[in-house]
Amino acid sequence: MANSINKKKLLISCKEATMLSVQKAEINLSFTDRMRLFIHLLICQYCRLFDKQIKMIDTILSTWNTNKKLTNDQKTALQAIIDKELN
Amino acid sequence: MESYHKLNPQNWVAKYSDELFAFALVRVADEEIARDLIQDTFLSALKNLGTFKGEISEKNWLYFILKNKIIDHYRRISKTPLTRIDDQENEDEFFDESGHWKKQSLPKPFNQAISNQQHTFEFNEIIEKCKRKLNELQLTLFSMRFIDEIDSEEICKELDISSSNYWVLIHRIKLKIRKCLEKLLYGKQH
Repeated sequence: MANSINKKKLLISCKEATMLSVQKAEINLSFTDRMRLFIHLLICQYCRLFDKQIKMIDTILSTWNTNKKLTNDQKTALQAIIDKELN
Repeated sequence: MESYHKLNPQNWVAKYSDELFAFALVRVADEEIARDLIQDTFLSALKNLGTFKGEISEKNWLYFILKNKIIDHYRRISKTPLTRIDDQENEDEFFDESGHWKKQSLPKPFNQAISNQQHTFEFNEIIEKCKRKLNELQLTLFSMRFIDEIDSEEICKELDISSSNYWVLIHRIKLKIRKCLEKLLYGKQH
């Protein structure tokens, strides 16, 4: 079981619903969990927004990169360390 | 035996240091750690020149060493008791006791749409900032899951955490990143 939601409960809290939104991206939710999330998203605009934004964020994160480079001083220092080791 | 690839340590810094640095930087907390990892990588490569058989390129060999250094770094973090305790946040900043959104944490729409097309250098800076909101263990999980795309089972094994711990951490990471993006994207138009 990926979550600890009470077995009989169909109406879940926002905390539980956002957890299901997060899990949905990685695993197949059980039928009950899908129903729970569906019902919660019907009645809660905030979790609906969360669910939508999380999907966007996932796409963006997967292509994240950086353009940062080392400074010349840092490179000189590294080169000095290598030169010292080589000699 | 003929060896296809040769090592030229004199040129490593000029040829590879920037890309190795960028590779490390997106995976760790800050530039200092990334720089240390690059230095460790070069030093460890120099010590092991004799093990290089020329079957892979010099560049791939250095990447291979760096990846191992990063994994060692992750393991160190997951074993630090402080980061473990740190994660048992005393107070839930997002939800009240009944599991409803706290008023100050209610999700708001982003003022700027984010999409792949808009995925620019500027946006990288924003994620960079949001990454700093995470503690070390969360950051490690973030890097393994979303940058290296390692599957959850493997991550749990590597970091020695349970599956329910994994979900609690991922849940928290996404709540934090979303909130940070909301703040930064909202701020931009005002």
